[in-house]
Amino acid sequence: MSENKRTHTPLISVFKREELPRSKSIMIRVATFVGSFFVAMFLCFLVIKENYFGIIGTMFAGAVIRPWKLLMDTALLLAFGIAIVPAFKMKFWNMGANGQVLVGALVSIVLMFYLGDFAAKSTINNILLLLLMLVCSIIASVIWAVIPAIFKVFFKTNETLFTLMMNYIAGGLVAYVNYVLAEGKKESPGIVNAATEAGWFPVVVDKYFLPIVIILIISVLIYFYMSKTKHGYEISVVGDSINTAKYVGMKTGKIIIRTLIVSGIICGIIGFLYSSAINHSINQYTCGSLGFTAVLVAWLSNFNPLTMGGISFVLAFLTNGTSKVSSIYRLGTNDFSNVIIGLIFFSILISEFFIRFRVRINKRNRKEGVE
Amino acid sequence: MENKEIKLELKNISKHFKGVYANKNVNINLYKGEILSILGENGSGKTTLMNILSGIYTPDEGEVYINGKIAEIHSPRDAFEYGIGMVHQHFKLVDTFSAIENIILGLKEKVSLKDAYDKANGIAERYGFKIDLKKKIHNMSVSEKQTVEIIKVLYRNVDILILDEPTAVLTPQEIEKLFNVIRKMREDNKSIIIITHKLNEVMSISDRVSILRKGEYIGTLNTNETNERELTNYMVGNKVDLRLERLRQGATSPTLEIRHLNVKKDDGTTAIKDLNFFLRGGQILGVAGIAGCGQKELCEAIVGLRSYKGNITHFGKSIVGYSADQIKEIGIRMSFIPEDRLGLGLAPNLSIVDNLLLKSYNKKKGIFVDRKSARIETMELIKRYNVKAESIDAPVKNLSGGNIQKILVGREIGTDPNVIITAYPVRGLDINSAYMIYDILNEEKAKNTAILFIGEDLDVLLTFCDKIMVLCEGENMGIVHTKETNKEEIGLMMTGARNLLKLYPERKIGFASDSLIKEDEVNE
Repeated sequence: MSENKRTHTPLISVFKREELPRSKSIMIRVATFVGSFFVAMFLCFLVIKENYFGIIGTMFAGAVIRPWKLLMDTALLLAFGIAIVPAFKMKFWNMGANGQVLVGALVSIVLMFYLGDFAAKSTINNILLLLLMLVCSIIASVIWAVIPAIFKVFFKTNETLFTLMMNYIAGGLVAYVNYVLAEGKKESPGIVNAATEAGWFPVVVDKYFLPIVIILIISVLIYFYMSKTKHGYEISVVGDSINTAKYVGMKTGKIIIRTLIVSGIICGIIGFLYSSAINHSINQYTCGSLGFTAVLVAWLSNFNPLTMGGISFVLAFLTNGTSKVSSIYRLGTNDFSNVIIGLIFFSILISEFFIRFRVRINKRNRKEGVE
Repeated sequence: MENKEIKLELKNISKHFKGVYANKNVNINLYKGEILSILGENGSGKTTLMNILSGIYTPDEGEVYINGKIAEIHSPRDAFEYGIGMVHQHFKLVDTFSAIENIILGLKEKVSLKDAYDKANGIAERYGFKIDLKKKIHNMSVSEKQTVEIIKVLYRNVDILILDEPTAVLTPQEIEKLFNVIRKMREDNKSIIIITHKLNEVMSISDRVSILRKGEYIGTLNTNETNERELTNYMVGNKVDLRLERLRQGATSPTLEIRHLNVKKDDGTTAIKDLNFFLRGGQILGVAGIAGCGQKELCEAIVGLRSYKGNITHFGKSIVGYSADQIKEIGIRMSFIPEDRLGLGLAPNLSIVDNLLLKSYNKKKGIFVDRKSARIETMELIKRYNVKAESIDAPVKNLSGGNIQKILVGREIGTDPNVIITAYPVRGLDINSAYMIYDILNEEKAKNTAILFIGEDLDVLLTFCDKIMVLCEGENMGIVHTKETNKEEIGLMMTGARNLLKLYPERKIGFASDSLIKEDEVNE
């Protein structure tokens, strides 16, 4: 055919970088965040057309005006992150934290609903109910988490899709049970035991104080579980090289299922806290999209629980702050805060790319066409 | 030949990877309308050379001329534009697509499926392929897939066709068919390069044969003026003096006996076929063979990572059905260096300490991993084997090949095994690291450990091992004492031209005379 054509040099080449020093990569991340924050705020300013610094002020004030809520939002995001980390470290992509938490919360609500009268009789009865709720929520969440793991181990199904689908089943289940509890009159029974507060978690300092403490304790435990125990070690080996794990005699199937049980336990506790301490009610959207946001949080923090806490805080801060901005300046729905947060995280993700890769634009060397 | 037109010319081609030459000053001419074989052992640089031609690598030195003009090939697409097409050993087809969809995949110009189908069918008819182009790849046999690959290349109007070990996956009948097709292409004035290590095929199909050895170009011969013996000599070269020692050591009774072993590859084809052999303590049994003739599967079967049919006994006790950790428990250890080096035995992203822990983390009671004593052990190992590492907490993948290998071998040997299975333990290592590995293995031999040493360098196998078993396509071609054999014999056995099992059926090769297996067990 044709003899001598021009050869192709790609216009853009992407190389993997040597690892950047830690301090430098952290600097880049922080700078990206701060930069994108001010750019995002400038966009607000273009829309709102009022004092630029006033908007930023509103943002900060909005975030800290309800400190307990800010901390609770942070803790919840952290909790979801902690719940998925063991599986993710094993490269088991659990996208079903939402569903796993929902079924846990649902079981607690049902118990509160039917055993409320019993629990209202005495403090001991109430404690018994709380314990029962905790245990049953954990069992429900564990079942929800382990089903995809069993299918993965024995039938090699894809866990990402499986866990994702389990979310929708959980959502449908919640809607149905709510309907049954409300005897078909309403969509849901609303706040359960509002009068008796049976099955409600005790309030110390603030409604949110104890749940936050519990989540912090779990986070610390999981940190040690992952970094110091044999289980955590096995998880990291399975995640890094499953053939090596098999060769050294690890029972990989057992490890996968066991790890998802751990995830399920954490989700069960979160579900229990939702029902008994935070909402006392449930609907399909109780968890929002925390189960997915947590994936981002876990990735960005490289599965380090401490960093996860920090990123969770930033996210909660932005959510609360921007929703205040949007209500003060009458921007309507939450879409505004989603745009801002989306913008900032998009920038951070791009910076992650540039931290890991180097991009070179090749100058076209003009080859003399030989013909 | 002389009056023929030169189609392709390789001039002084050199290519090195990290200082090791894969090709050194290779000069090869290819005429129009001829079939040229490229012959060489594993690692002789055949595939590297062809990858240069097909645009996957660029040479460090030297030029490629096509039709007398210098050609710059930077990508497979460039190669196609120069009329060079390569059929790889491992097919590169999309399984869920039909043949025709695969054929037009990657074409720049738009074609209708119908036109493409007609054109491809025309090509198939012209060369005598029988294939249904609408069939999906995943429903195809290996030979059909190869046909698709060849049509794919021909569709792009190539006139230089490179076939990388095209017969490795085919039955004798299919090979004959393929050869007929190739001969038709030659009649069509196309130039064909076949990479192979099978001498009988070289003799039957090619006009000329170029020989590579350890990256160096040895020469080109007209096939009708040479014979298999001469080619073998060129291929394996003369004996090289190695500073290697074969330790004198009295062997023990059989430690590991393997009978009628059959193992399959991942794709379901046969990897190991009715293999019998045994290992004695204090003895190193080398395994020679072309790459991919069942070595990997053999190792995996022995250490319990791959299912098999047949019998494996350890000190007379059957270990059939044992899991990997049970096998580990009785003292069989493997240090297997697969092509990607870190695939098996190590966890690349974990630290050196964590990698050493792999074998021992579960020994101590309690729920916590004892990293404190592991750190001390790591420091000791690093000192003993002179491992160069910045930090013992750094990921093991950051180390150089030699250091990674020392960590792996050191860890395996630290657990006091009685059988060591090692495959290509020095692949890619510098000389000093390699000798350290040999020394370690010799030390183990002195401790009456039975060693299976899968190697690729015949010189090393001949000087280092006590006996050599030669595999060809997963079959045992015979087991020879290194003192009583030579490279030429091994070379012929590797290519299947000499089969001791067939020549001397009465010798019961691979069965130990003092076997610990009770015969009635075997009959079961």
